[in-house]
Amino acid sequence: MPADAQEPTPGSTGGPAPAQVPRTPGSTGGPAPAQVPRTPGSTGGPAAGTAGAPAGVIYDLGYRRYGGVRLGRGHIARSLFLHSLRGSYGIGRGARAKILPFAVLAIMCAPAAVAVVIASQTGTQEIRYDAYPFMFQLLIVIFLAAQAPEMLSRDLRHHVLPLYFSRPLRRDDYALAKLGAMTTALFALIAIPLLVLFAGIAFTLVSKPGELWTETTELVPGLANAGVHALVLAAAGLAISSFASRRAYATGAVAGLYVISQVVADIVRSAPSQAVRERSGLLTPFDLLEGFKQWALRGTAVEEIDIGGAGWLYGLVTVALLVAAVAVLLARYRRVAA
Amino acid sequence: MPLIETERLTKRYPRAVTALDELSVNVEPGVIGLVGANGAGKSTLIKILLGLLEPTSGAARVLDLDVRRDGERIRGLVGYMPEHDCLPPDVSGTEFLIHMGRMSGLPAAVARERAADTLRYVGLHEERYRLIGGYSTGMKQRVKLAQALVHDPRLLLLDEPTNGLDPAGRDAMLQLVRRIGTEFGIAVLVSSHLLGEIERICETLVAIDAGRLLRFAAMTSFTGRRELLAVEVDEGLEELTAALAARGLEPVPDGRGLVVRLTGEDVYDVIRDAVADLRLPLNRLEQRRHGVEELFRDGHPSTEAVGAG
Repeated sequence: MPADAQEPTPGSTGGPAPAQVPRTPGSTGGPAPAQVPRTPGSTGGPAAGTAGAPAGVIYDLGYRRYGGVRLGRGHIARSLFLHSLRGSYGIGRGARAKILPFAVLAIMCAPAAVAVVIASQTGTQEIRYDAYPFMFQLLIVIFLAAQAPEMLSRDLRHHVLPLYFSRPLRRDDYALAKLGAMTTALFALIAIPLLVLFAGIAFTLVSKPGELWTETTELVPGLANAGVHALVLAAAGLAISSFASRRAYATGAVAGLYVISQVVADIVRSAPSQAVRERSGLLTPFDLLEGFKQWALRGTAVEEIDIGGAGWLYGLVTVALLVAAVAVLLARYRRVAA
Repeated sequence: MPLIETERLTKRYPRAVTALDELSVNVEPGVIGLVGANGAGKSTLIKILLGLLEPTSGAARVLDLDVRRDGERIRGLVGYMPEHDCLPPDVSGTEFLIHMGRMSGLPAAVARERAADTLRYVGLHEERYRLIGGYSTGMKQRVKLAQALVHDPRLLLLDEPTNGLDPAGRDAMLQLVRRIGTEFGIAVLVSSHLLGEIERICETLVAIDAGRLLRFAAMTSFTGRRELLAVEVDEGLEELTAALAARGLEPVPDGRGLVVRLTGEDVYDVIRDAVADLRLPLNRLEQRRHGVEELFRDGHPSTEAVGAG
């Protein structure tokens, strides 16, 4: 028995074992392939283990170690953010995954394009930048109800989370990367039509720098308003979606809560009391964010929503909603089983 | 440097369920088998070693890092293959591996390269461009293994990698695990509830029962006695016993047949030739599969040879 062909057996306690036959390939006599010692320290280049591999087998090139750079949590969270953001528009997925997000984006841009055409004919601009999310809220809800569950439920439903949490990424990092991706996706959905509108209008105003400046000062709060909408709606949508492992349930929950809150707010708005009417917008997300805009961004009010003197209340509820949604999302991912 | 050290490691779940009970082991690098019946605490131990579960008391170190303090660093150096399904069906094997490589901190270009290499190591070739949802169970297990290997970890923690596989798939998976441990030079901790399959690939064995250490030993002290080949013939058992003894084997009567110690692949040939020479009707020739319960049996021949850790 060629003892030198035996592999080192770490942890062998060397007990009394006179009758034992160690299981080594070379122990039964005959021309056995030489046992290759393990090479734990080798970095880079093929490991020595394939020295005896038959030539001509293309796929058996031996194991290559990786001795290069390993990025930290920050980089990992950033790649998860980018991966999720691309996924929210179906980029890197099949063609079917692209249909809904890009269709919604196109429909969101259509009114802006029409307004540009009208403005070039008549010289009057019909759509205000900071009213855009309120006017086309249904499209934003469709996008959110479809894509927020998509962003979370795949990993929940197919139990992919243990694979993330067994890597250097932290649970909070995962949740915040997803929140960042959903916020950016919604911001793009709202801001791209605003930029289309601005670019078109600006093209008709090249000879009038004064009016172009006015237009720019209206665009900036419009973009800020888009950002607030994106952040609050993303947090709320993800917080709801994080509890449903099936995408359809989460979609139903997001859309259902929107519709119900809208109906309730409409009923309250028909109340005789002026103070109650002014506070009715607190009950449904887009009215709330419209109120927040009027109060915090000094934006012009849309006809439907009159917040009167209750602006500070809209500010408070908006901030509370955002904080609560983020807290729920983080808590959910701290508790979910790995 | 020990690979894994635990010191009176205890994990209690709510409602007084004790998953690990003062477990102390000290394991050197190599291919390590973690054996125990279902519910013995294997998965709990693995999750504590990853820093995913907080131990109730006691201490554990992996690659000389403390699981409570350095969980993040441990997770960067370790690859983990969970027991249950963990793959999204709507991406291809390649895309999934690239993403998981990046989630382990590989730069994008490296992740692409390592994803392709790793899928090749585990034996997924043309299939890697198809969606995972269409894979067979065996292919899915290979992808699960690949995602644990993609970042070139120093230690692999494999939780029941043969679960749900047919016998051929089990053998292929075990060979792959063995190859990772020996040729790739990556330490492997592989759990199973079947001692019979794990003993073939391990250098060290840790057996736990109800969260306690049952046995800890180098595998040579198990295997010499435990690798058995069962032979059954319709008639002529005595002649065969004599013929095998004449050829240098030590047949032992066992029920309706006999068992021979499997010392190498050529034992099969010796038995075949003996049966053929005697023109006996051979009914069965197969390797004995042991259940872990045999370890628990009092007075089992293997027990006195095992050095307790």
